[in-house]
Amino acid sequence: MNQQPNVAGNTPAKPFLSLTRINKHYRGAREPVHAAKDVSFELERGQTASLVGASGCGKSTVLKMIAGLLRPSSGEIHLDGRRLTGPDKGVGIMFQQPTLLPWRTVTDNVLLPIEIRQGKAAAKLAAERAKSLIHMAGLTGFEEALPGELSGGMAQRAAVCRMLVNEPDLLLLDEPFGALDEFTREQMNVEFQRICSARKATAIVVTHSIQEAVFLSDVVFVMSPRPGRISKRIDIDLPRPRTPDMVTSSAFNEYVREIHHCLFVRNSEANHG
Amino acid sequence: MAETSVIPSSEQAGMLIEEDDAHRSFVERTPQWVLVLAFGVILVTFWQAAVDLSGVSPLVLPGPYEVLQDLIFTVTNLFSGGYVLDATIVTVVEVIFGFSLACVIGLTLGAIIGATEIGRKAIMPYVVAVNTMPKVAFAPLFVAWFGFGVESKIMMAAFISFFPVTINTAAGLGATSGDLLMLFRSLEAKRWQTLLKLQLPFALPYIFAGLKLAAVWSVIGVVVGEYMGGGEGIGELVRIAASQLRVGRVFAQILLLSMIGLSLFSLVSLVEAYFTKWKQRDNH
Ligand SMILES: Nc1ncnc2c1ncn2[C@@H]1O[C@H](COP(=O)(O)OP(=O)(O)OP(=O)(O)O)[C@@H](O)[C@H]1O
Ligand SMILES: [Mg+2]
Repeated sequence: MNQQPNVAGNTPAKPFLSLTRINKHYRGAREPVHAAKDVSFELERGQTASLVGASGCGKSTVLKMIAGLLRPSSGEIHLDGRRLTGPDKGVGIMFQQPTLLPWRTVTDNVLLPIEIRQGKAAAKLAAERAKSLIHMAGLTGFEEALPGELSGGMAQRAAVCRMLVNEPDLLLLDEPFGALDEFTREQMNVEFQRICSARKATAIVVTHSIQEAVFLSDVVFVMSPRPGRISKRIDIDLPRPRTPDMVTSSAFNEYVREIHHCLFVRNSEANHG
Repeated sequence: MAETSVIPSSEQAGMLIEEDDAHRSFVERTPQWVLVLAFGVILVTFWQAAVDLSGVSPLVLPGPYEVLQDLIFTVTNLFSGGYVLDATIVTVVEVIFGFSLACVIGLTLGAIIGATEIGRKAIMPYVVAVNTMPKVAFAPLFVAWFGFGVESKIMMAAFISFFPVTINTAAGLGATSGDLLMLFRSLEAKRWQTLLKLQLPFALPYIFAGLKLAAVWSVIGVVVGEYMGGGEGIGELVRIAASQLRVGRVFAQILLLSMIGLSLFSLVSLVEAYFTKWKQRDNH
């Protein structure tokens, strides 16, 4: 939104998020693990991207680097014109587990980011916002419930509310709905898409489900392992909003087949090499 | 997946509750207090039988009846303000101060070890090393350092019982799941926020387990101190009664000591229940 003309080398059409030749080496048990190799991509504001790839190919590593939870060994990450070097207020992350604090009510869990960043008083003032988020997530009546009293899907929805309460511009989700059953998962995907478009939020979703990746995304990045790099970028040109019955359309399944093919070919290559 | 894994467990629980009475064994059908009482009666019977059949002098091993008489005497003396009351007050004061000191030292040291790198690396090895020593053996030293008054008993109690608090506090603070720590890091939480809002609540069950151990051990520390350094507490009464071979009296006084430990233990449990209310709501 607010352009900063004094930043050197900026063109007006600067992407909202950009990763430039990101590398990550872990100190392994015997030798260093090259978990991410020359990962570069760009996203426009409001786009949703998916990261798919075999287990251990470095998806979580990339996501954690964007979230500022891991430092890249080399390379730069820019968000909205500024360089990211650590956790950022404009970035919200959600993990595979709901990670709710079991002694806090749903409302207090949702308000946690505000309480931590701005203090208890600010969290009190934001109670209304938390309430409307909880309502939107279909958790009305559970404001004062403890996480132990929620089902897995409800807990995950509460975690979505918590991620959104600070109104971050960039949402990072690491297999957010992986532990949910198919039915709940589909509902969450529809809901998540609605939230993103309503807030013009940019999102990166790590997922094991190719269907989910196609359903949610404007662009899917296929990652190949050892060293983890982006082997293919596939733009998903399906109309929005996406609806559950689209999943059976031929265009949708063409994308699924293409991504499946990328993953499969990469696998057989690895087996031969 | 998550849904299906949650539902069967609650169904199983329901099935257990509704299970037919006829299919439950005698032990399952009988209330626990009846079982406890019945077993107690068996024990006392064996005790009486052992005394009767072995022919050991009642001076060495009194029967249940003699002990009951000594117990009645001790309790009567206690509640009529006799010397037992005086001794009890002294011991209780020593236990409370010793336990409190152990809490302060244990929580502080445990927090340093659990929350700081230097504490974990530099201090923890010493705590572990000292913990492996037979701490009771230090009792004569404590008498030499702190004299024959209440101070040496308080110090002995604190010395013996601050270890479980320290170690449990440190372990508890380190037990927070990596995902939650990551969440707090992504929110740019300050060190103290992570400690107070995340690690401490998580550590509470550990800490209270340590405090309960300390409650019992502080009584042990006080008694050892009293055996070594005399004074005016119950330990001294026990020592005198034993030297006069009044074994029943000794039993009664030991029972009194265990009541002190039990009271402190229950108090800690009450405080724990207050601080972990969410858990009871969670498990219902
Ligand atoms: N903390 C770490 N220390 C050392 N190696 C690590 C660490 N974390 C991850 N790795 C390695 O880096 C590689 C990528 O891990 P990462 O967690 O990013 O994979 P992933 O794509 O998210 O896998 P999954 O789909 O199973 O979650 C793996 O080979 C893993 O062994
Ligand atoms: Mg992962």
